[in-house]
Amino acid sequence: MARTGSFEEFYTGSVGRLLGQLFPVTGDLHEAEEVVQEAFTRAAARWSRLRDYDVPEAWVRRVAMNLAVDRARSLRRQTKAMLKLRPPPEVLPASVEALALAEALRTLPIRQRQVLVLHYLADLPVDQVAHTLSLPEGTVKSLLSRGRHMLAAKLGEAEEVLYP
Amino acid sequence: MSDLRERLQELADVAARQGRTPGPEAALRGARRRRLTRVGGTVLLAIALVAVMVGVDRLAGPAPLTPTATTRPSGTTTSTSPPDVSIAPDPGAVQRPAGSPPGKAGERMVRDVATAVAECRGGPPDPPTVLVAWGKGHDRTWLIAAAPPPPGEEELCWADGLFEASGAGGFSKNSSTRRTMLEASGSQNIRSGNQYWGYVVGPVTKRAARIRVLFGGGISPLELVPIQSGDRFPVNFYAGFFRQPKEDKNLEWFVTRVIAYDSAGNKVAECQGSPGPGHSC
Repeated sequence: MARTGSFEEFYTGSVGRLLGQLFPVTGDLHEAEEVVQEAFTRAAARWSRLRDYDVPEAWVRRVAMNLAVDRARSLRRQTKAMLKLRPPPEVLPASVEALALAEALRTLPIRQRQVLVLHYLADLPVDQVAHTLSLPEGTVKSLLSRGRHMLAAKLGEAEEVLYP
Repeated sequence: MSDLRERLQELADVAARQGRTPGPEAALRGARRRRLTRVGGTVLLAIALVAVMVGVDRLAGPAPLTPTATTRPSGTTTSTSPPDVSIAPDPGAVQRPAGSPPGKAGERMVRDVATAVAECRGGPPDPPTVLVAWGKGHDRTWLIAAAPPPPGEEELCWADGLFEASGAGGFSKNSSTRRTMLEASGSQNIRSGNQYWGYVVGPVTKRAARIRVLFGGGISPLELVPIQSGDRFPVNFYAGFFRQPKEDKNLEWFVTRVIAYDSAGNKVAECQGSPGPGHSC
């Protein structure tokens, strides 16, 4: 289905949602802002083609998710020692439960964070999570299962409470 | 107590409210700037190529060489049918096509080069990454993978890798363009037994029917035929090994010139090996 909206409209309509989805993945709001903006810059370069996509936002989300992984790897490689010196992430005005979740998510491998966010926040079924992350469905199921288990353990809550 | 969905949604709502991005104008400006940089680079490359070709033509004198018998990458076995690779950048599993390097080590090699292509693209593997060719020689496995550029896109992302049997080795991501005529990069000091080898690889125009690589250090020229990449790619590729007389301790690249000829023996492209470390042409 062809769409004819402007890039500005597309950006304004989706940037908040994408920031919301990338923040739990990166664990740092500033980092989320950077990857989302970079993904939009790449989208702008391809807008003549992307605007005809049914869901251009899905493309931007995939790029942002890939960038988040790249940056996490790059950070791990280049500034592992420096991480200890970084200031703690900005504290957001959220409930104690949500902040505890953000803290617990930061301890999970980034792929587990991604599948949890895409499945539980973006409401994507497993096959679409697999497509978004270019992973086999079996891998996504396994990451979901491990991620759920680890998250419940970190939060000290039963899995039935977290995933009713 | 709220469940995971509710807590994630709360975090997302807060991030959406608190987050500050530079806005759509900044994204559009960034995209324009990158386009200009890319076009500028292409124009400079074209000017440099024309200058080199004109200069060399004046020096070369006699007519170009007639085609001679050519070889695949010397001393290697090659698989040239280009299968699609269903890739899953690290750490996902790789669904390898039939005929790709075998075993867990082969899986890692394919994943490494495919990941490099995906990184060059900076985005999802869409359209798919293709394992263009791979082969074995001198105790190493070499691979070339690339992503067909989508219609209207100038950039061509490809990657090459050179691995030991265990899967250890190196790979590099490369960015060329649809109009690339000839490029070369590679590595040296590949030890196999008591002998050292060098490796040269790159994209070449589809007009080329053979490639001649010239070396310093008394190394004999290498004749190669392009690896056919199929209709999805605007260029073909080539790869080959050359025997080094000794270990290259100065890190100077032995490759001095690479010349591409069409089927009639006319020179269609040429590049000069850059002096000093860098291993590119």
